Amino acid sequence: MEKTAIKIGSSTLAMRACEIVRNSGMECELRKLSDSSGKYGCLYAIYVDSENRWRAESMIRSAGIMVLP
Amino acid sequence: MIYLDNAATTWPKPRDTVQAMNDAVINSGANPGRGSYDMAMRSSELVYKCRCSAAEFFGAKSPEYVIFTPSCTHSINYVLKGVLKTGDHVIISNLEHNAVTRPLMQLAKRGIQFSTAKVHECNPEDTVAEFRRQLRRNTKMIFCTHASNAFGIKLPIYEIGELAARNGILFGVDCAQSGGTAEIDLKKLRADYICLPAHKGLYGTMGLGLLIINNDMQLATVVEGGTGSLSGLNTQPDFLPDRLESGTLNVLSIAALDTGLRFINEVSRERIERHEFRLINMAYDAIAENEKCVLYTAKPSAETHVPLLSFNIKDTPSDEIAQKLGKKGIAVRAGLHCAGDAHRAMGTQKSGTVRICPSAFTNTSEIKQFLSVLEEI
Repeated sequence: MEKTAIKIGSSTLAMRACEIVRNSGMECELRKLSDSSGKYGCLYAIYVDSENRWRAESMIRSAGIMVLP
Repeated sequence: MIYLDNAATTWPKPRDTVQAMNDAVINSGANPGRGSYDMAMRSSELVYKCRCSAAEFFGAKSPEYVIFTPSCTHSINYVLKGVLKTGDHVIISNLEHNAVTRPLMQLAKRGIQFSTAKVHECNPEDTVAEFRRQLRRNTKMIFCTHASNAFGIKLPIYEIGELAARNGILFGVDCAQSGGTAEIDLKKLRADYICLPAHKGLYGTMGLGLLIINNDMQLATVVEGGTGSLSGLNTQPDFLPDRLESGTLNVLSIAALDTGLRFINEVSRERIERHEFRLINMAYDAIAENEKCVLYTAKPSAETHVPLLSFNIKDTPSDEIAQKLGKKGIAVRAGLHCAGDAHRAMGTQKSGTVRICPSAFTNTSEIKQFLSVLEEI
């Protein structure tokens, strides 16, 4: 299954986002990566199945966690 | 040694604390939130787990509202200096620790005013009335201790929180002496900020404090620097906890704090509180019967005190009492306990007092031995 990355700025918020996604029954994996735009430096990415992206991102944003472009 | 200085720091710590810190050094020794390799992620997870534990313990909104600081004093400074601006007024109590009064004395030079509300022991209504009496048009915040570190007198923080909320002002609490023993639940307590040390009633180690935020106002930062997040930007992140956590976190102490919180949950906070009150009241009753001794408060009870006690022996300097106790293997603290205002309020600023405070690990026979030595002195 193809994966997509939801980018979050800090480890704490990324871990909370991961918890939210997992608690709703979706699988996710947390990794740290460099921001290819060069603007932010480094980010955390939550990898979810592409078909779950919209749902996962919506849940994360509803929890008040900012998703980076 | 019979250790009765738990108001300064609890000792001993739970059995698992050393193992937890050892594990952290060996297996999670990387800087959390920086690298992307396994050990760095483990370190980040350790920190996050403790954040979650603390958030649940105190009823915080969510883990990112739990900020790790170098100490409770730092937490208090972050609140006072993050909230107050020139022209603001803040109300404190007359029993504050220097961690509150000294930053305010410094802020007074920048045109921040503060006034002091008198605490009436065992009388929450009058205490709240005193705080109400101090309200001004420019009052921005009430900041007070939950319990005096020198005398154990508790303030009615739930009622003071209601007063602050009704008047649209912020409320911060120094929970240094009550965290882990007294009930502190942010789901019921209308406080905007609570400040705690890891190393007293939470059975963690020195070098770590907590600031738990209960609103969505942005605190002005006192310290800026590397946060491991958004490194490409040269401004401080505006999200919690990163905004208020610059520099490397004290991971070993965070591991110890997590163990401490687990210990309290396993034993139960209420059971620890009952145990400590039983011991402190045993001491209170015996000291009260001794004509040579002086007590300064009513008999402690959970509604109006935390389980610690100040006393003196008549016509004997407090430091001399502490020294004599020390020579007999009893560890206590004497003097003004970094709380000059509290001693001025109680009339003990010249003599100071001897302070005793049990922990979950103090037992009945230790209190009996202390009382027996006190009798000899």
